Amino acid sequence: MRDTGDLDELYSASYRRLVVQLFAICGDLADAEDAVQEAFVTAIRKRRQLARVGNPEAWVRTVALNRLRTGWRHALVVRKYQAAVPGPLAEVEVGPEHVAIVTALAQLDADQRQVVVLHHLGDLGTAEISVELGIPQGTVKSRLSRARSRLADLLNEREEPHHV
Amino acid sequence: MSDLDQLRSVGNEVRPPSFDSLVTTARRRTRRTAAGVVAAFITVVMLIGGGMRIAGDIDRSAPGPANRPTSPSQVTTTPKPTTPTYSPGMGAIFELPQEIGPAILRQGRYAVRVTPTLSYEVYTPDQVKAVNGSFLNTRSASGSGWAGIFFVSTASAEGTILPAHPCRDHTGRVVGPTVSDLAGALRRQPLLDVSKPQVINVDGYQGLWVDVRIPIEVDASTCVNDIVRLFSSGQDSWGWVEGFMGRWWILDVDGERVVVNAQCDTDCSKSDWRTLQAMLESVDFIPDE
Repeated sequence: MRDTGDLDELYSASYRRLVVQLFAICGDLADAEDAVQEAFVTAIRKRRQLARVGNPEAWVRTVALNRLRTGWRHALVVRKYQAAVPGPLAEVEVGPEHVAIVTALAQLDADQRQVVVLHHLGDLGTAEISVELGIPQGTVKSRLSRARSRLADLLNEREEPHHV
Repeated sequence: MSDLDQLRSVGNEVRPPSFDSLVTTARRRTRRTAAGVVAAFITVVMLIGGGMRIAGDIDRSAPGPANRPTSPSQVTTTPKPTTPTYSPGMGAIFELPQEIGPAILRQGRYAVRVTPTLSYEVYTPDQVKAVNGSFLNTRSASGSGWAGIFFVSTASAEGTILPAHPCRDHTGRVVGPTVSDLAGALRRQPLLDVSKPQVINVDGYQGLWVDVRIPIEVDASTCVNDIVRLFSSGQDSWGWVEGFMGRWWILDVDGERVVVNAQCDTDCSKSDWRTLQAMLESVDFIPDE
């Protein structure tokens, strides 16, 4: 990966799935898109560094997640002082079924949410997640297990009214 | 988890901006950094041309390598300088000039050079003092002067040295080349209180975070050279006195081991630490093209 042409291919191949993964983690599609775009801008500026990375998509995802965390802190300040200022409307309409899933994900611990998203939407195995997050594989498995159990409960609760 | 799979369809609704637009943004940011260098150079030339000298006003709380010489005559004969103020402007990045004494930074993002081949960007709050283009001195949240200190130093793979005893015996021993080697060696140091290393990922770089403290009970005035030595690398040797609290992120940046150091003394408030933590988390390394 030595020039922007290679990065262009990575961008075309991975942009949408990275946005989906970050959307599942942060619950805001506009924030997710901003974070992924910022991560690609960083990747373009650091393409020589990226050339030495074994998994460029994982690198971009990590940068995007860091941007997201920074953005959250900024957003907290902005919301505190500018609560009355409306934000831009999201260009993409998210369906109610997706909102329900993201709402359930938001109720997980942040660590569990990240693991379950990387596994089920990033299609990473527990060993790959272990490497990407720098945590033991056993920790990945236990977080995944707890996240699935909690998610199942939350999504069943959502459906309960239909059974009455 | 078929419910989660449904989210994949959201991706079909997303319209990525053109890749070329991102390339343009990246190039614009790089040009802004370069423009910052030119602006800084012009500022220095104007100040020097106006007969003002920029030197010698280093705050007592500003750190420096322990072996950097400062002769008393330099301190007594240098006239009080007018401290320059830098402001990066909205969305721009200002590259700090090095070795020109203190400068006041307005809120914004700055590029700081660590080595000839490595710089980093950091976001600073308003009224931070930069010393020699390397050390960033934050104001106390209580308004009583300077509080935290932020800087990035190298800890070379071949030549990073820890003292046999931080207070009594500064005889050096070389630590191993990796991030883990340094974190582990620090943790084994006598006298110092060093937390268990935690894995971190900063801007895509893996590393370890340790909190390093010099207990308040230590009396640095009884130590060799009146200082508790922390570590040395190359020409620089870092030390402090009792009450030191350092939040250190030890990272491998493209094969170069660096220590991102945010430090305060025991009387720093939570607000002071929040300022430093925000600076830590805003760091973005820029290896040279």
